[in-house]
Amino acid sequence: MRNRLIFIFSLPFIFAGMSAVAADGATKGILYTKPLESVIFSHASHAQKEFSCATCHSGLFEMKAMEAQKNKDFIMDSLYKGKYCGACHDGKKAFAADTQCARCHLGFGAKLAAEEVPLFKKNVKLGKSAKGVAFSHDKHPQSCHSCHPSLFVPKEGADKVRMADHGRDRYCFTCHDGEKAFAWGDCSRCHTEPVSAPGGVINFGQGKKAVAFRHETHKPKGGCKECHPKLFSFTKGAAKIDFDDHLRQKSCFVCHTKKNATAFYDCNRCHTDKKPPKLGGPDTLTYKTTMQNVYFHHESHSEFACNLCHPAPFAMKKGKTKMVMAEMFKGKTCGLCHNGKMAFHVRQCARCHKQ
Amino acid sequence: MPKEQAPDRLLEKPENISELDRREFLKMGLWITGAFAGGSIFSAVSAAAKVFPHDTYAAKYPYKPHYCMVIRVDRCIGCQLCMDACVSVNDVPSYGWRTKILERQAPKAIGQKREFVPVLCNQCNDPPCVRACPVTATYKDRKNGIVMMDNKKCIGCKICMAACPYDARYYCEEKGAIDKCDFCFETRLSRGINNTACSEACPADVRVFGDLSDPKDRVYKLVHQLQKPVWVLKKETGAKPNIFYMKG
Repeated sequence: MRNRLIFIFSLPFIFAGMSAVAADGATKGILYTKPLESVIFSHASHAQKEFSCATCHSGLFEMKAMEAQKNKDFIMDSLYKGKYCGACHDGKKAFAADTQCARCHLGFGAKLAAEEVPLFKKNVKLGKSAKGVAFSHDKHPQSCHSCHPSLFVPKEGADKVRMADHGRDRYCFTCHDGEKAFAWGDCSRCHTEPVSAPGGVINFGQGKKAVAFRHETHKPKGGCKECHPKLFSFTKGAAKIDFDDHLRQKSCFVCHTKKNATAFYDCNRCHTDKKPPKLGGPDTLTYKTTMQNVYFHHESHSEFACNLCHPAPFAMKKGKTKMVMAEMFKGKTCGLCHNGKMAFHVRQCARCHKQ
Repeated sequence: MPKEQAPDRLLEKPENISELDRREFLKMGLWITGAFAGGSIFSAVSAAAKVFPHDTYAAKYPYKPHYCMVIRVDRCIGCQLCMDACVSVNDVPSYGWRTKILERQAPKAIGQKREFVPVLCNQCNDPPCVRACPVTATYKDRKNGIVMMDNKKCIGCKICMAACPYDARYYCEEKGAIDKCDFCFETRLSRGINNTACSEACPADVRVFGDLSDPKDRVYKLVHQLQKPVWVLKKETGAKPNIFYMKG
């Protein structure tokens, strides 16, 4: 009997609770107060399956709420001509804008009950399969218009973020540059599955002369960031390695350089088409002069490291450095060493100018 | 009085008039007075009824211009711009109102779920307020049919406020009299502006003000057609209002 009484007395509370949840007839949405009060636009009432955010937010309406009412042409005539709401509310796709006035117009001083929850996917999958990035809107509490539609089209799958975009001022990286938000260098922070370096051979140059690069043989401690994108952009074929780069400590040669030396020590380690280096260095160079030619033999200078002369004062390119006797006397080019102290003086012409 | 003197009594000058005679005379006098008074009261009622007898309608519009307003309620969006205009033009205090918007929610309706109905003084053709006023401070203007106020005569008894079926009157402290909508007669119509402030302010063309007796006027065309129903509020009071409501 007691149990029955308890049940009966608790019934009103149960029903009160149910009705409190069910009778949530308060209006949520965006409250427009200009030019007339008030129209409340509710995203929830526009949640049809055929709609995506981009249906309206790709020209009709800004992502930022209440921007529309800042326009001077936000009047009913514009709607009749197909602008703003009138793009659909023309009588065909939805009820015409000049009928059922009070269906949207709620009278003076209509109040919003609560903040509107706009319809969007909380978690968006960027990219397919394992390479993808799981984006969570919850972790990005900025307003819609800080990213949409300027950075991202508000439609899933519309934007493709490529490896080449990393590090450029596009998509996520306008903020994820290390200043406004964490830098993108740590792949695992965004990519759901660990990202591995691409396999296979990347050819620098074409044909036989090409240098074959393999990621497998390169695993620096700092990971991808050691080389990308400072030294090499993520785009295939974008890097062009100049002859002079071998000396300037650029691209590969940031690492592939002997201390205080050049990278020329073992050409055929990368250039597989080249013969193994001669002990003496490259071949003889012929300098044509008005008098007798000078034949420069690298072998006679082989005891020195390449970077003693290269790239200064001698450029790596044949014929690039101009040899002027007067300059040599002043200590330029050959005269740097051939000044009588380190090696024989330049005055001794016949030692170089020969048949 | 001795009976033998009775036949000659009338010809003689009596020394004193008896009580009974006096009473008879007074009763006769009262009867005659009452007949006159009652007759004049009756004639007063019939004089008013001569203009608009109850439950009958005049053969043609009695006023020139016969001001009226057509309110198209399907267009009203409750923006209250008409109320603002009325208040600013006619100096309506915050505690009173000359026109207001009634709002009705119908959550189970299909499509539009609310309705806005503007109301104001209906400028009735048989106004209960005019009949009720004890001092004739309110009267129906003979030329244009607007129910006007004579503020000097008003004693603030508020009988007209109770009599009005549309709750259109309020006591104005500043004027010391009852105030009500006069179709902006004092502020606009009498100064050559042929439109009321509320109908001019409405952005949705809800209120149409005009002369019902003129066949070329817009209100005439709106009222005298059978396609769209036209109705008045509280027809059963017999007040014969001049504010017409319609949809479409």
